[in-house]
Amino acid sequence: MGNIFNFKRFGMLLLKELKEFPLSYGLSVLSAAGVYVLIMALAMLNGIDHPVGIFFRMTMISLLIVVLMVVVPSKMYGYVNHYKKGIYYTLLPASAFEKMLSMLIICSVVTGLVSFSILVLTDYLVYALFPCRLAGTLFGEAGSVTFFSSEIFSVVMFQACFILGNLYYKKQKIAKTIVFLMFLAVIFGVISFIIITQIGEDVVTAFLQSKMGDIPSDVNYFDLKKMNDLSESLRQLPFVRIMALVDYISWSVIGIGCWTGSYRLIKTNKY
Amino acid sequence: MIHINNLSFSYPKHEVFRSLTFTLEGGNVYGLLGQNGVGKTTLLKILAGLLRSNKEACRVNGCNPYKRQPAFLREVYYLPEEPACPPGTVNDFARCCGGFYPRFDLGQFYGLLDRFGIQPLARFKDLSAGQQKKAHISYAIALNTSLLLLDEPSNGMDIPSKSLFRSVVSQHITPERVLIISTHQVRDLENLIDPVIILDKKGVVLHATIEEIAQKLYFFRDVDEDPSALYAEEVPAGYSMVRSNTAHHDSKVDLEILFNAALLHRDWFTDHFKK
Repeated sequence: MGNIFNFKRFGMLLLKELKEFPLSYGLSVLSAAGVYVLIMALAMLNGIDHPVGIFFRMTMISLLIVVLMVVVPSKMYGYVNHYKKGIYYTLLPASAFEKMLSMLIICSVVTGLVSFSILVLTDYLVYALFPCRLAGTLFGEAGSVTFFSSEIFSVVMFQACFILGNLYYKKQKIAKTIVFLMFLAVIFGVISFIIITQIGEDVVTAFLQSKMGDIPSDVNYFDLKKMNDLSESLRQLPFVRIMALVDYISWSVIGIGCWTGSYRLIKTNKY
Repeated sequence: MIHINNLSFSYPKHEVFRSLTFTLEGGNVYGLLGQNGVGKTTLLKILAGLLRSNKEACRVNGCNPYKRQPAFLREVYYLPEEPACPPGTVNDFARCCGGFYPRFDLGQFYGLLDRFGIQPLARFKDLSAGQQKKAHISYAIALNTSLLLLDEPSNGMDIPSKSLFRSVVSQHITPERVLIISTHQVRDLENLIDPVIILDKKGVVLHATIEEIAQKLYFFRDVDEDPSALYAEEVPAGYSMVRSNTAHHDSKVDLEILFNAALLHRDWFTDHFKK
């Protein structure tokens, strides 16, 4: 068991990687905060959504968190399969499981929490400077927490693809992972198209209408409360519940598959 | 301590070893010599667990290196010929990574850095290649692992540092430790390495202690080339040569001459140094 997991050794590894986090990724997180300020400045000047709404701000924060979480594996652990730099990591006396677990904690939990905290803090600062240009504080309106929490699962599972891509590809890790995911999406799209064509487009449309016909079409996407109400009403539909379950299961399978693949690569990489 | 039994290894388009067999014991500084491409670095990487060998062909401290179990990894350190430049200072690197090794001695590390003239608070990227090498060697020795694998450690070092390196390594070795040094710079390490392992493309040509070599071979210089010499090399005062030591003369082993002779007379060496 000591060769698979040892709490003291894992703690040392996690502490070591936590210390490296600000050096390797601190600037990227701060840059994301700068980008957020820029987006807010443009939104305030543009005046499309005046004052800048909470839903828009939360969407922007979520988007930046996704970008940060997609980039972190290659920034923090890009060297792992490098023929020279990866030797340090591989020869460090910790098990592949401990290395994998520490990588997951740094990439998913630490990056998620740090990015979220910095971006929310930035939003508060922008609000403190221009209170009349922003529609209230981020968590002043009910539903904000629901909005963010519903995204966590998908983001973490999506990130797992990039953790695997980071360990599999030697160069242009993010770009190659995106291209591969796009390739999968095209394959999936073609298969879906063939299935829909076989069943008949009219039949599928009629089926969806019968299941989801009650949903209003004139939704204001900038109104957080209405968006949450819409999500809530959608969740009541049995068909949507089944689809959501399929979605969760699919992402879980993808996530666990990617983590398992990453573990294998950490364990068997050659230099 | 290290048992290599019928080790075979190939890269996709190139076979490196076939049926390599030998045993390495504690308390020695092994010199691994060979021409470019015979697999010295590959062998070190296999011993460190960075490359996969055929099943059970390689056992280090009773473990299969490629399993990379923590109990194995904490007893082995491999320093490549051109180590990557770690981020941060020399001190940060050693403090962060050294803790994983049970016998890492921070005081010894600082002492070695001091002897090599390296500031612990210097950032790795601000050091020259030779200084980085000295910092890495200090760290590698201070880890006090039972197996230390050094690939071309004297490359890039200035002359005083090479002497210091020999002194430091001599003090480091204990009966429980094995040090394997792969090198082309045999003159730098002539008084340090013992036993010597010479590899060629077919496998091990020679695996013998300096004492055994001195018993079986006679190294000498003469104005004229001796026809009975296994190998003769022109030097300013005549020839530097080696021949079979049938008269039981004492001589100092010249590793460069030995190496060239071994490559030239493979069969003679394998016959005479058969274990």
